Amino acid sequence: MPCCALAAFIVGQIIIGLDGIKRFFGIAPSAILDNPATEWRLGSVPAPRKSPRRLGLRWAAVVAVIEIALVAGGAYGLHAHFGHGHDSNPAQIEQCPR
Amino acid sequence: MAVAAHEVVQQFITRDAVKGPITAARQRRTLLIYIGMCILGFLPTIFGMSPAMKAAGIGLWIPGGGFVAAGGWAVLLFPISLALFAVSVFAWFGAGMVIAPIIVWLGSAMLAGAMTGDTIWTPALFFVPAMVSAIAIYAYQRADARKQAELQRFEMRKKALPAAIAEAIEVAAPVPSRNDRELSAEDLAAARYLFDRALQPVGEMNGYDKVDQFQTSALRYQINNLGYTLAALQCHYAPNFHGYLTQAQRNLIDLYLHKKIWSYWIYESAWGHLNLTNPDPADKDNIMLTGWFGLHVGMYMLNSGDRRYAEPGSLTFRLNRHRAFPHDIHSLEHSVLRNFLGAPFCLFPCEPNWVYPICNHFGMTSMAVYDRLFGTKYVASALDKWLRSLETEFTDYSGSVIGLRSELTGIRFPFPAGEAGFAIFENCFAPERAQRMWAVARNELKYVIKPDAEGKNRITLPGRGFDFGNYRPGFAGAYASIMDSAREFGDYEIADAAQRALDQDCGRTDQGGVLRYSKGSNLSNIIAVKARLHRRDDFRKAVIEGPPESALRGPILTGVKYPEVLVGRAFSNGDDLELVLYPGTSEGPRQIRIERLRPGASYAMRNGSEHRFVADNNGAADLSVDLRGRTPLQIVPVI
Repeated sequence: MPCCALAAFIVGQIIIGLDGIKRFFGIAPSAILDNPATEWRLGSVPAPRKSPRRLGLRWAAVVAVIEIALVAGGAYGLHAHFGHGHDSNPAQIEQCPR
Repeated sequence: MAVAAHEVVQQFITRDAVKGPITAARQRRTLLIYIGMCILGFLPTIFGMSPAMKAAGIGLWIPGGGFVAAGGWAVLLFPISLALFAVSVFAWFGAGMVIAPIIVWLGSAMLAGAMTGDTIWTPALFFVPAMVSAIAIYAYQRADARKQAELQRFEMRKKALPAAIAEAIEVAAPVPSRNDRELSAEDLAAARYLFDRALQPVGEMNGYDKVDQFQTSALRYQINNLGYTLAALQCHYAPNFHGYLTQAQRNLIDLYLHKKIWSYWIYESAWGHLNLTNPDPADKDNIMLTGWFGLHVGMYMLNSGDRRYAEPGSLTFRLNRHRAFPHDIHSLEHSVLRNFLGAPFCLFPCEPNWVYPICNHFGMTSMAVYDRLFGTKYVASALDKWLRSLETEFTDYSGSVIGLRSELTGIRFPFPAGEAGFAIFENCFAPERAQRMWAVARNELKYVIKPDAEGKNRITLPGRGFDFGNYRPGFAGAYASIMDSAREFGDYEIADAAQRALDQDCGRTDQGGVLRYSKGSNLSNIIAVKARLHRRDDFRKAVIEGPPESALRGPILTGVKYPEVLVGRAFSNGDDLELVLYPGTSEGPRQIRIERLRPGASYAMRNGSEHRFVADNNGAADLSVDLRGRTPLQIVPVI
């Protein structure tokens, strides 16, 4: 067993845990996957990498979701702030007629 | 190797106490520092200082404890701080980031102080100490339960050990003769997995797992294991084949010097040693580099006869255009010895502060190969102290070597390490101890050997397994490591059971003339090849003996193309050369080149028929050989 085994084991448990979650949501197969690194042979065509464009699109989608959430949260915050500020401005509070 | 069972057993039974003096002193120091922090933390409360100081003080008791004192919503930060502290501890032992837990603990205390208002939440003064006490009691109970379980295991082992050692010695196959060593066609298909990776242009890393460069999947471990396997192959099967076999090994050494492979140390020395100016990877600590790489280079030098890495600067780690760390085999091994002799535990850390006994076994083995190469006495000068430290500071109550211990705090992490993995290294420098460890491992492995559907024995391990080479589930690494150790001790029954499990469970694939296990990591595949080629005492011999002198001075096969010509055997008794070649692509005539012949001398090449030739003035000859399946050749001088 190589060194740093405990840390590797913990990282592994996290990865296995994530795999479990993925399987739960049906986005990963249950069997142990083949390792593409072992397929490579000298003289063979290098294994195709994930297209940067495709990867970029995924990241763009993640960023877009976060942005939308932030904008929505910000808008709600502004609305709440000014709404509350409007009510709490002493100058604008209607005095109850005595 | 003559090992008397009763001597080995006696050593085990009368071993010293488990908690050695340095571990005890470090743990005492850690406890005193913690008690000091607690006292310091209570001083603001005793002296009626500001609420901010009181909260910060409570934060010294436990990470995030100050947020409990701050009260209100800040209490929610307490579990977050604990989680963050756990992450920082992980960064500490995962990448040597000593400063991470300190920053989180002290930082959370200061932040809590800053967030505290006019008053603290008074119950925190009782709640936090109560919680700390509960954690301490729980930890003590767990440690005690573990100790009792280990003691129970020790008693069982003591009873079983005499018979286990006797049996392990009895079933061990004899050390094979050099005359019988030859790679089969299947062995060569497995070896091609290594050559494919090692013979690509230096700097390219196709076919490697690339996950991270800190932990067990790091490229450096894959490269080192490729190197060990090729060096052992050369020692036992083809000491007189240089050509692409030595080229592959030199490629790996050159690749290791690339910054990408060793640059993890730049970060670890910065956040672990607080050293921002001198990230020399072979200076202080870092036995995961000096020990592993030293063994790699040393094995290559011993088994090939190539001494180029003894030249100053031949192993230069270049940081950038302006800065480089020139090393060679001497400076690497001197670093290992210097660290052994200077470290308080004798065993010294991989990542700053964390001592891993397994990496220290690599370090001691690297000194063994160095001693063999240069006639030094490095092992002898450190071994007694080293073994004593291993016995007293790094052995648990059951007699097993522990996985790791913190050099700073003396804390041991409860992680099983396994006897089989240590035994193979100890066979190079402490064979009696190695035999005992293997006997313990073997005795406990018996429970996982079961017949398969065909009634043949195989290893069956519980769970989904774990592959240290890519952090994925799988048993390839475990099966391969068991097989490797079993072969070293001549236990071919267990080795065959492991091989069977590997073939059945791990996606064995024979494609394009290369044998591999598709469900294993690259690291596990490499160890599987190492184990496949391994025979009794092979690792020991490849480290402390090397090829016979006659082979190191006899003729060598050099100019053959990979994968056109595969070499199953290349061995010289001094003047002759015995070869077994296979066609790697297609059958037919192939050019081979022989060197280190006597210049101008006449030779005969025999392969059923006889072909005579004369070596040129450089002692070389180019020959044509018709390769059809297994092709044995003999080249002999003609008087």
